[in-house]
Amino acid sequence: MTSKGDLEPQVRCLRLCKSFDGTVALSDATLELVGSQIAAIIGPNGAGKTTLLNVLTGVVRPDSGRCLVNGSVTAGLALHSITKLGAARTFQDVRLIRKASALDNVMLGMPGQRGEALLGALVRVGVADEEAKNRQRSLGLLEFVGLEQSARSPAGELSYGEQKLLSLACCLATDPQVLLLDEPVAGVHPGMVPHILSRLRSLKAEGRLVVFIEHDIAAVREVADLVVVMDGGRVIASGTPSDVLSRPEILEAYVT
Amino acid sequence: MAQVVIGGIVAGCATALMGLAFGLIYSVDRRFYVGQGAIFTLGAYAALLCHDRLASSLPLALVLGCTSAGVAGFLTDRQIYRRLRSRNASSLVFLMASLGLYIVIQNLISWGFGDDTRSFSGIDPAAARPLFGARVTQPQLWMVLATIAVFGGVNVLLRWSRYGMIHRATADNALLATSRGIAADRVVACSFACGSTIAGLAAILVSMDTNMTPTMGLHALVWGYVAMVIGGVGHANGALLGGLFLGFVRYLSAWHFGSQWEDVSSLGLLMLFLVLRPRGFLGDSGQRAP
Amino acid sequence: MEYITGLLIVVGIYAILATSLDLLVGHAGLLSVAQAAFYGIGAYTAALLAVSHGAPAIVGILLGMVLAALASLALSVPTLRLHDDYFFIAAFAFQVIFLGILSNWMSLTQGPLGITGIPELTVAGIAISSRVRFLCVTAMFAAFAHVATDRIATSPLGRALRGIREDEEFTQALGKDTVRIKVSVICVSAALAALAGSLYAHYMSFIDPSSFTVMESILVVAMVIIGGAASRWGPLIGAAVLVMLPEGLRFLGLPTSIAANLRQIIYGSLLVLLMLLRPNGLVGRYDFER
Repeated sequence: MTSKGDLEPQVRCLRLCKSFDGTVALSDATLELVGSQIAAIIGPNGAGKTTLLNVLTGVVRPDSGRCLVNGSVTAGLALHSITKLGAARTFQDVRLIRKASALDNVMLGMPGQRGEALLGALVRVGVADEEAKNRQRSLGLLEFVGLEQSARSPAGELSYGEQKLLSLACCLATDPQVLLLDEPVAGVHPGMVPHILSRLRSLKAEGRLVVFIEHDIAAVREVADLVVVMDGGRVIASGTPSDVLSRPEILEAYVT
Repeated sequence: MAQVVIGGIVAGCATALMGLAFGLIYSVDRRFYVGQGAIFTLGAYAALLCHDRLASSLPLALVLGCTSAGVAGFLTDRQIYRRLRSRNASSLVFLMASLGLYIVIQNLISWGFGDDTRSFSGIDPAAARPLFGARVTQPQLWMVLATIAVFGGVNVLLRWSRYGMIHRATADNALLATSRGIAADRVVACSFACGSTIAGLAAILVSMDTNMTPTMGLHALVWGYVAMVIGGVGHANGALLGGLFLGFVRYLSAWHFGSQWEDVSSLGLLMLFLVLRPRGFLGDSGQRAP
Repeated sequence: MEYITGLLIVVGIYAILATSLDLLVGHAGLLSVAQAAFYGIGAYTAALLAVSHGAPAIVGILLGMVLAALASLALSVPTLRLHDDYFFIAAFAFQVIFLGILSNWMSLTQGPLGITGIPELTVAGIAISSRVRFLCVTAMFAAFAHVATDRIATSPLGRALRGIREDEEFTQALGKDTVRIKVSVICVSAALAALAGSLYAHYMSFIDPSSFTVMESILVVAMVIIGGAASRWGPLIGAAVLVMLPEGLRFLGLPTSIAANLRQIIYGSLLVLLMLLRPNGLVGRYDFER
């Protein structure tokens, strides 16, 4: 098992198949993304996009095929182990601890906390220092997404767009090389979309691989280096936005 | 030997009925309603009341008892669980509310009838008929016949009636159904009515065969749940399979090791299935929705 | 005065039990009805070591806590990766199986006869011979349990537990091994319950299986809920209310069996009403809402 710093960030899905009680969700889906870039996965509803993400992150087990994250096979690994491999995800329905503050949510994501072990919680050697450091880092991440003013507000009181930014910050707390975002701008107030997209660009500049599922084609065109089109459980096209998005058959698949 | 088979089948039928009663509700609303154990007991004592105090005949007492259980179960759903459901309360809240209901109903029964074991007068426990080399009592015969009738009826209902279609559709998409709420509420209410009636029937027949105590519902709950899990959640006939299997295990362990080990063996079997084959005999494979 | 002291001791013991369960129910969102099993492990270990081996009390207490923690692994490790509802059933099964072992392993536990002649508690050479002294010891242990639970609740572990309670999948997505965290917290909870058990054994000087049934577990659940889950004083308040209630009823002059039923009806109704109207109990901070 190589350490996180050695390889380029990468995600490989090889010939994934998955059916749910007779409905085919994934059919020989193959996707390989290497190096820091922003890749968008688009496709009509039911194309298998979220299922692909779920298989990749261990939420769902594929019927056949395999996935690799940063060089390590993900077969049989649970969600938390895959996050530890360096790939963190967000969810289509924004998931946060609504009653906890934004800051608490981000601090929850900090890895390797001594205070999370039983002995650490009871005896607290060095925990105060660690908490202070994590608080600093968390505030930094909140600043990165532009939520530093809302650090103490309960997550449930933030606007939808702010919540999406917060879940991005939580994701970043785990210091992932690969980010898997499920609809980071869908349903967000249009005024906020450029800000979110600029954050994605910054993440790419930091050397991370950003993969996101989206329906907002304008956003995809704006920020993606690579567009992957899925339909019927498989990848039907992949290329640059100008290339893929001008093809008539792709646009048609979308409209219908 | 024949006695063991007959005994196992009778125990299996009671268990299967309870498994069906529980499973009908669980398949459309995946929450553990502890209160159904008390509804079970209520059915038996309602029948006892009718038979002993109101001098009804046994068949009439049976009908009235089942109806009481069905109505009571339906009411608990409409008045209490539905309110929690519309609030989208967590399963912890449901567990505790149903636990509270169980406690209240069981203690009301204890208060009214005392904690001693009671049985139906008018049934001679020794009047057994020979059948295939074993001896079968009347209530035991009724139990088997009732089980066949109920499972037959439920199968017909689920396959060919409109309600059955809606029930199966909701069961397939239980997760969607519980989050949607409105249409599912009607299906759940119906399943509470049916499930509670069947539970009452099982209770009355078991009490006619042996006896009843106010706390018997807890055990019935265990049989029902375990039979459902072993048979496979969401499949009515799974309850039959699971119930018969579990019934045999219970009967054999009581016979071999003594009745105090009955619950232990049932639950041990459950643990085995949960760890090795959580979907049971007939259940679908694939992720159980969280 | 002796009467009041005795009452306070019982409140103290239940406060430790309720505190230990609040760690699971209030902070981790895990409903367990197995607490009486761990309570029993503590009681029986302390009793057996003191009576059969003449060991000093502290050895019995510590060993009881260790054994309870280990026993909890048998419950948590196989079942926690399954859905939380299954954990509830598994806890129920664990409790029933434990009671079965307790009642039937005559050579070890003397079964239903129980263990008599448990000696006085001796702490650091001082014989705890009076009730007042025992109350002081109980209060000390209760304070210890309170502090331990509080430490966990206010630490990063507490934050992780609340994450698990509110949205376990989200917490997992952040890289937390939620199963391991839950297992470790259940160990602590079991150990604290065992602590209460050993106090109980020395106080009563006689124990038998009837004090460690499912209904006892449910009583502790009621204390946590009524007092208020995930709160500092909730467990104590809940323990006080549910211990004083039957005493209060006794003064009404009701015959004991009816008083027992009435007490349970009251706390069963309280559970249902609280779930409908005020899930966070009297002083709790967690209202079980999604």
